[in-house]
Amino acid sequence: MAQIKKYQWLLPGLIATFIVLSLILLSLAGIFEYTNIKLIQQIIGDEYIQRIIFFTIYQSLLSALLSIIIALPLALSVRKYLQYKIIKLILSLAWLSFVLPVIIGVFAIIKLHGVSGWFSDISVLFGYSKLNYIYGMNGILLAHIFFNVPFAIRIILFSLNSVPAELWRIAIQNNFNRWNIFTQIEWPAIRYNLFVTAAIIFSLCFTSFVVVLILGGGPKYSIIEVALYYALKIEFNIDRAVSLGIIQIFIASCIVLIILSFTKSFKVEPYTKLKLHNSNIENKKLLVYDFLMLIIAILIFLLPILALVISCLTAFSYVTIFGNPSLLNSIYWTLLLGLSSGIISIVFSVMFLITIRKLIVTYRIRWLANLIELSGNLILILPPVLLGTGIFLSLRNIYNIQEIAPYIIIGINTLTVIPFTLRIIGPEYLRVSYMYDKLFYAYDIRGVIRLLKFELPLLRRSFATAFAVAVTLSMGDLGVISLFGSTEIRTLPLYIYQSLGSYRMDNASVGIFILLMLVMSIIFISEYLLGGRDD
Amino acid sequence: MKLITKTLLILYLLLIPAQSETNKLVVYTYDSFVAEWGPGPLLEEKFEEFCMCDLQFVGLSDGVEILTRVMYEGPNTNADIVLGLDSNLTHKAKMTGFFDNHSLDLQNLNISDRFEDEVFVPYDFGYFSFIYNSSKIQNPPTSFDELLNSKISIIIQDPRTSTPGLGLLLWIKKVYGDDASEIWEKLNSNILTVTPGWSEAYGLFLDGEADMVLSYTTSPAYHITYENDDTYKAAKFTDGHYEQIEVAAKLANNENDELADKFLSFLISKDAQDIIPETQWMYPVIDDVKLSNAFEQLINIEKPLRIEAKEVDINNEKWIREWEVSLSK
Repeated sequence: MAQIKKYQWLLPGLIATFIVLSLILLSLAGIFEYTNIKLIQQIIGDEYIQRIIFFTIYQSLLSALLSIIIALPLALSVRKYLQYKIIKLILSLAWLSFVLPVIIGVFAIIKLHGVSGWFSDISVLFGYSKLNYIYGMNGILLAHIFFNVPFAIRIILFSLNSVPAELWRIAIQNNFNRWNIFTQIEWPAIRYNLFVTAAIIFSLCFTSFVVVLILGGGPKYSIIEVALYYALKIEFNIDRAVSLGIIQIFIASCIVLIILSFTKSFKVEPYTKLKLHNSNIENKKLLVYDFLMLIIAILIFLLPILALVISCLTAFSYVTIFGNPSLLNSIYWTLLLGLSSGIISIVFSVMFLITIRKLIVTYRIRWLANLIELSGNLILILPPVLLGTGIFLSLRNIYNIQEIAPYIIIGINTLTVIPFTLRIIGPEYLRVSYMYDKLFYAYDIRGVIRLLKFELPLLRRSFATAFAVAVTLSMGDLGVISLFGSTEIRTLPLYIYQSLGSYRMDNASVGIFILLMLVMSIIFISEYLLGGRDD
Repeated sequence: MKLITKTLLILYLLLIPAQSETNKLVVYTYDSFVAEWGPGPLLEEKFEEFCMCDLQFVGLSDGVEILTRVMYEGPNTNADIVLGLDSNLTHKAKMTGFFDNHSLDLQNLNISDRFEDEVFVPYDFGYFSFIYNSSKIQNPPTSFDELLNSKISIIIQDPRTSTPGLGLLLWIKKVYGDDASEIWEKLNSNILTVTPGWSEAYGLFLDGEADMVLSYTTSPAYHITYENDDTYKAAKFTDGHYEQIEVAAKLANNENDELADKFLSFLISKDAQDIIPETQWMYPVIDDVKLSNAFEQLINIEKPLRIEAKEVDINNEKWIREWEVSLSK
C-alpha cells in the first residue's frame, strides 16, 4: 500500500494522457480500416502531390521562422515596459488575432491590406494606384505572422519571467551590454520554450487551410490539407483522404521532432523572484528602438482588428441583435461550449503538469515527462478534418451524433487547446516547483491543498491567461462546429459564416462585433480580475 | 466511490440516444436553408399544418456536406429526406444506392425539358454568372473571351471545396471543351483570388476587393429587395450560362415512406414554391409563382448550359487536375 501511495502522483498525468490518447485513438480507429500502403506509395509518387507536400513544408517552416524572428525582438522590448498599463492593454488586445476564427482574421487582414483596404486607400489618396500585394505568398506569410506572433510573444514573456531578479542585478553591476544580456540571461531562459513554440506554430501553419486558400490566390499555393479535404468531402474517397492524412502526420511529426531536437534540456534553478525595475540599464538609443518595435507591433496586430471593428460598426444595427433569437441562441452556445472546453482543458493541463513536475523536479526522469507532454501536444499534428471525421465514423453506429454533438465539440476543442494551456502554465508551474518544492515537502503540504492553497495563488496570472486563451480559442472554433453543429447547436462563428452564406452581411457584421466583444471581455476579465495584480 | 459511480451513470444516461417519435420526418439540408431568413421555418409551418407530423430539419454546413454525411452514416442514417444536393452530384449520389425513386410526375415543372430524374426532385434552380457593381463598371464583358482579354479582376471559388467553384469549372468546360485548360491559363491573370466557398468570395466582392465575383444571375434580386440597391448586376454572357438545379430525394430505408412522398410532393406544390424565390434567391420550378419586381429586373437566360451528372462524375477528378495545373502555371 505504501508503495502505491508513493507513486500516486503519477496518476493525474497518466489519466489525462489516457483520456487524450483514447479520444485520438477513437478517431484513428474510425479511419484505420481505410489505411492502404499501396495507395500511399502511389500518392507520394504523384508529381502534383509532391509539389504540394514541398509547398506545405516550405510555407509552414518559413511562417514559423518569421513568426519567431519577429516575436523575439518584440517580446524583449515589451518586457521592459510591462509595468505600464498601456503595454499590458496592448498585449491583451494582441491575443485577439490568435484566438479569432481564422476566417474573421483573414477578413481583418484584407480590410487593412486588401486591394480596397486602408493602405490601398491611402495610396490612392496620394495619387498612386491601388495596392495589390496581399494575394499570394505575401498574404500567407503575413496572415501566419498576424495569427501566431502574439502567442509567441506571450510564451517568451512567461519564460523571461523565470529569470531571477539577481541575474538582472548582476547584469547591471557588471555593466552588461545588450548583447551580453541577451546571450547570458535572456537566451538561456527562453531557448527551450522558443523551440517548442516554433514547433507549435509550424504545426498550425501546416494545416492552415483557410489562409492558404483565400490569401494564396489560387491552386498554385496549395497544401496537403486541401487535397485531404477534397478527397474526403468531394470525392468521398476515404482511402485517399486517410493516405494523405498519414503522409501529413508523418511529415509533420518528423519536422516537429527535428525542431524539438534543438531544445537542449533547459535547466531552471531555484531562484527567488524579487521585484526589480531594470529599465535604467538601457540607454536612450535603445529606447527609440523599443518605441519602434511597439509601433511595428501595433501596425501588425491591432490595425487589422481596428479596421475590422470600424467596418462592422458601419453595418451595425441594434435591431438585428435584439429581435434575433438565433443570434442570442448562438451567443449562449458560444459561451457554454467555450467555457466548458476552457475549464476542462485547464483541469487536464494541471493533471499533466502535476505528473510532469514530479518527474522533472523530484525524479529527474526527463524522457517520461517529455513523453507525457507529447501526448498532450499530439493533437497538433493530426489533420483537423480527418480527426473530426474519424470520431464521426467511430461513433455513428453507437450514438445519434446530433444528440451527443455538444460533448464531441467540447471534447475535440478541449484537446485542441491543451497544447496552448500547457505551454502557458508549464514554465511558471515548473519554476514555482523548483522554488518551493523542498519547502512544501518539509511542511508536508501535499495534494489538493498544495495546488489550491499554495500553487494557485502563485500561478494566478498564468492560469488566468491560459483560461482566457482556452475559452476564447474554443469560442472561435469554426472547424469542429461546422462538422458537428446543427440548427440547434450553433455558435457565433457558425452564425457569422451562415449569414455570410446568405447575403446577410449586416447580420455577419453584428455577429463579428459581438464575438469580438465577448472574446475581449473574457480576456480582460481573466487577465485583470482573475489574474489579479502583479505581485 | 459511490459518487463516481453515480456521476458516471448520469453521464452515461445523458449519452444514451432518446427514443425517436413515430410520426417524424427528418430532412438533412444545409444551414442557410433553415436559417430564420431561409425557407425552412416557413416550409415547416405550412407542411405541419396538414401532415400531422413533426418535420425536423437538420442543417449541415453546406450542400456537399449533406451527401458526405449520408454516405458516412450509411444505411443507418437518421435522414428520411435529403434536400439541397446540386444537380452535378446526382449521379454520384445515385451510385450509393441509398436513395429511393420518388413517385411524382415532374412533367409539369418548368424545367422538365432539361431535367428528368426518377430519384431526384428539383425544387429550385439558378444560373451561374459574374456579378459586378454597375456604378464602377460601365461596360461589363459579354463573354468569357471578352473577360479574359480585359483587365477586369474576378474572385472565384475553389471547385475542390465549393459547388459554385465546380459550376464555373463545368461552365468553361461546356463552352470550350478541350480548350478549357488554355482558357484557365489566360483567365489566371484576371483572378484576384480563389476562395474555399461562395460566402468568402461574395463578402470580399462586396468589400470592393475585385470587379466581379462568381455568383448567380439572381443575386442582384437580394440587393434590390433588402437593400434597395440596384447597382449590382449580373453580366450576361453570349456563351450561355451554366445552370444549377437543386434537388431533394428520399432515402431508401426511410422510416415513413408515405410521409416522405407527401413532403416531396409538397416541395413542388404552389404553397412551397411561393416561398422559394425570396428566401433562396433562386427560381421556382413551377410557372404558377408570381415573382416579385426584383426578379423582373434580372437578366434572362435563353441558353442554359449543363453537363450530364454522369459525365461530371466520371471526369471530375481529371478536370479538377487540369484546373489545378492550368492555374499553377
